[in-house]
Amino acid sequence: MQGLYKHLPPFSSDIAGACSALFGLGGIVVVHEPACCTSSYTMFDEPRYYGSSSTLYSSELREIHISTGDDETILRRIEAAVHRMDCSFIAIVGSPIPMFAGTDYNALIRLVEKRTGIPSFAVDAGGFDWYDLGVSKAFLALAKRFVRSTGPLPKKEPAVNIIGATPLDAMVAHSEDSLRTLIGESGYTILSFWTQGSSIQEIAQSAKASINVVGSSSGIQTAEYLKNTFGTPYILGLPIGRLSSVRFLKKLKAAMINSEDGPICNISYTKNGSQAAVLIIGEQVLSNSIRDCLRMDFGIRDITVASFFSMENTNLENQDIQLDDEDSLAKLLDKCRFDVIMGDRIFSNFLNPSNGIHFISIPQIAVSGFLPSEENPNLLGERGFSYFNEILHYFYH
Amino acid sequence: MKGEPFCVSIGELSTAKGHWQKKIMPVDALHYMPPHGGGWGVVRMALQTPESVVLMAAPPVCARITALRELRLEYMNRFFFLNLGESDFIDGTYPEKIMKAVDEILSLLVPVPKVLFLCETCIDDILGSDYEYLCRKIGKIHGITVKSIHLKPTSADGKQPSGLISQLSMYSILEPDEEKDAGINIIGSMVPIDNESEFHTVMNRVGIKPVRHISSCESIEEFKRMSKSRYNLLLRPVARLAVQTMEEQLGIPFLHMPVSYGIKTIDQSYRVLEDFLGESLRVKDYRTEAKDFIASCCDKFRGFTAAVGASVNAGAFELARALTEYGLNVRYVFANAVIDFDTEHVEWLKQFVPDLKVYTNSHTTMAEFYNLGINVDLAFGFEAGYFCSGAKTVPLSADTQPFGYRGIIKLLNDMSNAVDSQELHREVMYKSLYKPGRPEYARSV
Repeated sequence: MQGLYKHLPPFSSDIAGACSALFGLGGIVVVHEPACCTSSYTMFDEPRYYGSSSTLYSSELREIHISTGDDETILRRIEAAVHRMDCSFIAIVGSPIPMFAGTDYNALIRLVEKRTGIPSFAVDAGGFDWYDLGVSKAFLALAKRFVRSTGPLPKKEPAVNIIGATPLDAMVAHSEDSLRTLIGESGYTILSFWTQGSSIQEIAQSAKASINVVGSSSGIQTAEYLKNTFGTPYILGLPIGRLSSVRFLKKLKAAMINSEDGPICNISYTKNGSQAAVLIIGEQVLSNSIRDCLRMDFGIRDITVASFFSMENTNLENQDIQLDDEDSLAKLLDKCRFDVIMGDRIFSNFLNPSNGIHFISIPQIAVSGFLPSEENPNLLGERGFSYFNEILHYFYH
Repeated sequence: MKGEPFCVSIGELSTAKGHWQKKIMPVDALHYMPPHGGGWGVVRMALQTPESVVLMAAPPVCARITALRELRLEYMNRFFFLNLGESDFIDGTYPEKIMKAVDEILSLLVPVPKVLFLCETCIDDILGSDYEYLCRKIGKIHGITVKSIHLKPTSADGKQPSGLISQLSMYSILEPDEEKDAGINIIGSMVPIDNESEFHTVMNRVGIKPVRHISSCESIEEFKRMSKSRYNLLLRPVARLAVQTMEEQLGIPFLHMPVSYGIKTIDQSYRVLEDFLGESLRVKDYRTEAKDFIASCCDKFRGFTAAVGASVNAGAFELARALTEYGLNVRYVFANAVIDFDTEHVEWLKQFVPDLKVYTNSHTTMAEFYNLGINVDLAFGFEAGYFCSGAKTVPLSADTQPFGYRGIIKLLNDMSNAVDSQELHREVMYKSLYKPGRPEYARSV
């Protein structure tokens, strides 16, 4: 039945996505909910939460507030928080209950800003969508509220912003350091990394970057906004693997690698005489980047990307698949077309061991949550090449 | 943060009669959520019922924490989630979708479960979903028991929060049975009383047996035999509504005997239990055993500083009192409310530990508590262990249920183990999410 999940947990919601996008920016983030919706985010979806001073709160909505339309209590709570905690902005994130109660977030934000004098905005999340929509809305809200230029278009610096690529996006380990190093090799610096370590002040300077790197689908809308408003071009993808990273860096320098360059590894990965068929289940931009690595570094051509999350039409190949729910994944895997499947480890439960399909785990927090003991592979640059090279050798030799 | 984190002194806590959970947190405060262990949500509680499964029909945000908990506990084959969108609620088609989902779930499971719990959320409260009707209809179609449980945080501070309603729902499966045996039911604890506790021997000696607990029952028929018991012993207030109803409808009287760690409190509890049962319980030897063990340990822990959190498997203030009596210097309690059964211990602490500070787990200012470096030697409960970073954590989670004099021995052993352990709080907390589950239902492939 469509929408019935018998084996998979529901993925991270748009509320978690918004909270993840706004994490660590020094704002007070208030999820307008009864102190329940936020709990899965703090417990399972945010590896940075433990030990942080994150000023993420629930408004502690109760029956009496809903039935009497009492917004005053919430406003007083926010005012009290501003008096006790330092903050550079206030964000209100929605949830199912205020949505059904018809809460006017724009009006609420105007009142918050009037009473506290702190820049404020709302993220209209309802808890019904997956995390990527929440990240996208939060990033766009940040861009519209804070990214400014004064006077004519700002002078472009040889710097990039990285937008998208939150921990929920199957983020590769040590991504910030690795990306800084890789991008530094191209002569660019990272102006801001939304939102892995950058402050709201750094994000506010984003218009000065000469190019934006979009690390996941959730960053595309914001990149489009920055392009339309400030003329900043953007590229999609992450530098995964060897040749793919070279191409990525050359793109940054506004040069394209010759797409006819052959693979580095001359070992062909075949099964029964035909080329191995690979399925990557995950967030589209990261999955496409892995696809580039497998093609350019290893010569694997038959690669399908499937995702439960947003897929941009312009980044689809003909064989790519938008997954609707658990049943659509089961049907796809039942066809037994693939030799290698990559994705969160929980997807391996759908595989019949006797089919001989190889599974490569690429954990995604938005799917099965995070474990402190689990080390996500670092796939950036040469490390990605080494990682896949070792695994594919193990499978086929 | 401007200023100090919000706290009250023990002397400022009100113990006046009124609401059964007196909030400590002020009304005008945003709610902070500290990292926490798995805990026992309403779904996990309901799945204690043998041969049962749970279906939650809700947006993903409502079900995720439950599903991930159940995934780690290996209960995922008994928990099902139906993803409902806005339009499903608005156009009112969701009851039909729920029924269709139930059809599919029951067709997959071998054997067919005897009990289905439908989990309502606060959205259903706002929309006025009639789950009673839905349960009756589905039960009639499939010939199984169907009950609703509630995930209703909007009434968390009220007189009947989700846990109470859900426990009532679970025990409402029991039917009146005039033929009583000599059994006693343990109600409200998440697991049976530890095997090491003297309670089992003491009951057996006076002919009160069997000692029944819902999660010890392997079948629904065995669960239903709880109606035959002559007595109910309520260990934790989450089931108070259930035992009151069982008294009215099943004729089983109950005694509220909160779990305690203080020897004098345990003395008093056993005296009350004797009156309730009309039996002399002969617990003196166990008392002596505990006293001797305390004496052998006290020097080891004398002067240790301690913090106690409300997530422990007993009353937070009772535990604070017990630890004080054993020679520890209890500095902090982390609790959002004073529960009525704990008020006498609050009064004792006011007199004997007037410097005790009470923080909440959830006040706005707790967001920066971790980095204040406030420390103690031993922290009891995961939230206390989190806030007092650097302390050795004694989880005392609801996953174990010590009881009686031997509960004191277990406590002191747990404290020793914590002192000797090299594990960090974070590791201990995340490890606690994983527990072996009940035997699996087999799905048809």
